[in-house]
Amino acid sequence: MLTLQFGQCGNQLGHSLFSQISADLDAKDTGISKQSNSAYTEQSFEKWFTGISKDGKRLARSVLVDTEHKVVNKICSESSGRWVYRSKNLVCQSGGGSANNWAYGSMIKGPQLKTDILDITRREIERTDSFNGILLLLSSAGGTGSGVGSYAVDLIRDEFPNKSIISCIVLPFSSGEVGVQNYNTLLTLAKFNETADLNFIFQNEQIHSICTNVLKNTETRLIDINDVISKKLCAVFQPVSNIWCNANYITSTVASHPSYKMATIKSTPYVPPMIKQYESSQSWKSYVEHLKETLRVSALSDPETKAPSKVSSARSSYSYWKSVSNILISRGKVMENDAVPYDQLQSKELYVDWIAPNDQLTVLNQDRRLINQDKFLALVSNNSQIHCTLEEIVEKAWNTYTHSAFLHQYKKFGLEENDFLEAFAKVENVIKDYESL
Amino acid sequence: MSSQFVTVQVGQCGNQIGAAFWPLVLHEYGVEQEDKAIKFLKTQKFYHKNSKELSSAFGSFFHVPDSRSGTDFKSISDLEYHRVKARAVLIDMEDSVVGRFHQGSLRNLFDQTCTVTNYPGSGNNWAVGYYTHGLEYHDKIENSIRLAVERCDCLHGFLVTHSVGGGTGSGLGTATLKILNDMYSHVDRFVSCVYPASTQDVITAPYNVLLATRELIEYGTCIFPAENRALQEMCNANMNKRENVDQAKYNASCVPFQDMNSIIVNSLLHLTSGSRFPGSLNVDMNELATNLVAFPQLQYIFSSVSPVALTAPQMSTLNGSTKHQDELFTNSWSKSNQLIKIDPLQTGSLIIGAAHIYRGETSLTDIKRNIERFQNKAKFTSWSKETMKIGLCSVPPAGHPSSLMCMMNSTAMSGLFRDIIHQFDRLYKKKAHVHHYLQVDNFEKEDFKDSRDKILDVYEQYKKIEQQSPSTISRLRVR
Ligand SMILES: Nc1nc2c(ncn2[C@@H]2O[C@H](COP(=O)(O)OP(=O)(O)OP(=O)(O)O)[C@@H](O)[C@H]2O)c(=O)[nH]1
Ligand SMILES: Nc1nc2c(ncn2[C@@H]2O[C@H](COP(=O)(O)OP(=O)(O)OP(=O)(O)O)[C@@H](O)[C@H]2O)c(=O)[nH]1
Ligand SMILES: [Mg+2]
Ligand SMILES: [Mg+2]
Repeated sequence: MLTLQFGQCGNQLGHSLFSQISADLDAKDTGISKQSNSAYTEQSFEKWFTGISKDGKRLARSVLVDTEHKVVNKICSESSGRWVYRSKNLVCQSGGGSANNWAYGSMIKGPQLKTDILDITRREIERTDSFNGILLLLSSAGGTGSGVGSYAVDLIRDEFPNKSIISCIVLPFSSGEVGVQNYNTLLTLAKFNETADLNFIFQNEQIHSICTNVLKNTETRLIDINDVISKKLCAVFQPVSNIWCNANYITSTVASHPSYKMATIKSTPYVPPMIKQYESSQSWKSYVEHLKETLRVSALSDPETKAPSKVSSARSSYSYWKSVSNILISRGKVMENDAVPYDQLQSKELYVDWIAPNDQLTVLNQDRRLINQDKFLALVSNNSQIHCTLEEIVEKAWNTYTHSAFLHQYKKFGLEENDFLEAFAKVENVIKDYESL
Repeated sequence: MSSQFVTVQVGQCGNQIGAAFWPLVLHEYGVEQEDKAIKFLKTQKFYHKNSKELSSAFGSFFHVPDSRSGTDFKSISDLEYHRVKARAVLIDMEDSVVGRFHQGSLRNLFDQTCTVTNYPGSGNNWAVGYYTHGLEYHDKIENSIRLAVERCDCLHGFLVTHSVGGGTGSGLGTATLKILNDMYSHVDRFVSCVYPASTQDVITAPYNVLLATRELIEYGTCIFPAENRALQEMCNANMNKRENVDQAKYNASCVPFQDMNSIIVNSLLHLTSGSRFPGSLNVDMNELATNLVAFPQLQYIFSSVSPVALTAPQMSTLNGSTKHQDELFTNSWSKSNQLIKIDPLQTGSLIIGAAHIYRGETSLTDIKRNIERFQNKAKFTSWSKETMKIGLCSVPPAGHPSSLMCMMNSTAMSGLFRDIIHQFDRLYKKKAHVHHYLQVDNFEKEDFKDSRDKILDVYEQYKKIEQQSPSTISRLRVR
């Protein structure tokens, strides 16, 4: 796996991700034998790192891209742990950022960084023998992650037509944190849905609620949000038993149909730091039920932002978002008297009927604990709920667009009204596809 | 390499703002100096823990010729020894204020070749500043600017300061803005300009204001207007607040205008903080226009910094608490903290965009709560409610554990433009002093008319936004 991190969000998130992976490699409380653990860590190391630096630190297989230097400087100086970035893997201008402007990022800054991005990416790929996927980390609201990211995804697609490209796109708080966030998000989603193989969508708003409600963090910072996202990514991408669960495998399982390339990662449990692990641990059954709840239509508040309940709900007459496909990944020991009741996620009402039962749910397990946590369950879900998220963004962006607000900022860099309309049409199409599941 | 800014100060007012700017910049970077007012400004207890961030951003406002000298300077003689120069261009048509720069304790920070002066001013006449001096000094100004820019390897913006009521700042200041636009069209131009009080100290001010405003609309990226009446009231409030002894002492030892100007300076320091220092959600200056200027020509921005005082009162126990955070936000929205005497949230006005830049430690939870409070308090167009920009800068100002800058693009700004036209019409009706303008080469009667038309156009644009009805064009839904 090669990671490319774009802009402030991508870089800060990438830093958090590698810190967690590294912490996972060093975790002591694995729950499995030494031998199995070293197979796990070896596999994980190979996936994310390219070697060991002179001073004994793991070298992340990651390319850092930004159009200003402050973020990258900061995260590089903060590598206090047992891993570092390769200093040669920085693609960073001192240009003062991409002005929160997708057009500036994709039409001006992207081409300026083209050679550097390609050179470093090629070099990293040549260094690796069993290379199969590229992970792109970015936010959709700013200018660099969204714009340069959009430019780069085309570039990489052209250069490596057979590699799986998976993106992680962080959507902004819906109350607003960048004035033109809906335009930038629209343009980003249009591009990535077209070019990448699979897009994991994260919403800052929702993760923030997980931090405040479940983790009881009343002063949530971006770094806390990044920790949650990273953990979800670790749960999905760290090694599992039996199969070599690489990027190809995940894209072909989750996004086998070209019209459905967006997925979310639901996971549980999140344990507040003041609570001891063993006190809180519940059965796999309650975790599976908790994640199943997140698939319900019109749950008043998002169940993922609440702790799993201890009593299982008896009713079963809920309606569910229709999934194209799901992957359930459990991390931690599964016992005979505490099995993972995955059949709950196989019920017919969860899936569209044109998907063959065999392709609906994939179940993966890893006995080894993820970062010392007794049990952790993640559900990668490609389902119709995403259309609500997209709907809200398109609605707001369209409203701004019809008043011609901010358009001159984009025209300045060559992005015309037609380009906007094209992006609108593309995302409307995705909405329709998901809505009609 | 840090983002760099070149400050261009024009006329008496512009240079006096500069005279307040440089000591405060040095104070922020922790350079000792003799200025008798600065001595009263306390530095926060934990401020030194930012020393790395501070010193690596030193190049933002200063040119250090020899990269081996580092950027960790402690005193003026340190700076002089390493031949550090302020990234500044000083322009005035009379010698007195700029002359003080060249005699004061910071004199060696200013390069003579980046100074353009003359005698005896522009006689409070925009046309003299813009045309007479503008033409005569065009090349000289161009050269001075080029020199300052050549010393930058990472130029992110120009900070232009001047008044619009007189002749030099108003006329030559806007002529200089045009030069900047011609030479470096891709570099942002942020203008802090002082509008005169309605009780005019300069009789021809309404003409100068009108003529300058048109140029500012044409060539500025973002304009941050200030009014002396508003600044004066903030200073008075500072003096009356008994609890802040240090601030009162600071104000009391200021030379005329210095106390008022330091309020403007404080906002400039805050404005550039995101470009200079790291933060978990940093705002580079070029993001401002993208976030605040929704339509061409509507780039006049309300700005306020809270706390207004440069230094915290000794007893502040609230720091960091939820209540303290909320108070920072509430104060920044208050009309008494605005740099002009217009309430951006007044009844009938709509917010087109807003940015909140926080310096110091905070959490998203606090920010989110306050953004929602803002969204409930203000009125918006049908599309602008989420047009919010948030910035988090990890380095607080020197005198406070945290501070907040709020910038708003509000249709209430139309009030400023209405007044400009109104004042102009009153004077122009009597044809008072018009001949002083007409006798200046290149000045045409049409200059008055064109400027008035343009400003009226902007005024009407705001009014149109206030009356805008929600869009009825349906989406491109695919069925
Ligand atoms: N989850 C998370 N979101 C972040 C982080 N940093 C920024 N964001 C989000 O990203 C969006 C802003 O985009 P940035 O990533 O800062 O922008 P950029 O890609 O650097 O682009 P420019 O700064 O415009 O050049 C907002 O929605 C932020 O909430 C982070 O560390 N974690
Ligand atoms: N806030 C503030 N306002 C000032 C200052 N100096 C002058 N003013 C205001 O600026 C206006 C007069 O403009 P000046 O800057 O003095 O004039 P000038 O640009 O030097 O032009 P001439 O004197 O005509 O050559 C009046 O409205 C003054 O109140 C200052 O230091 N601070
Ligand atoms: Mg950025
Ligand atoms: Mg003067």
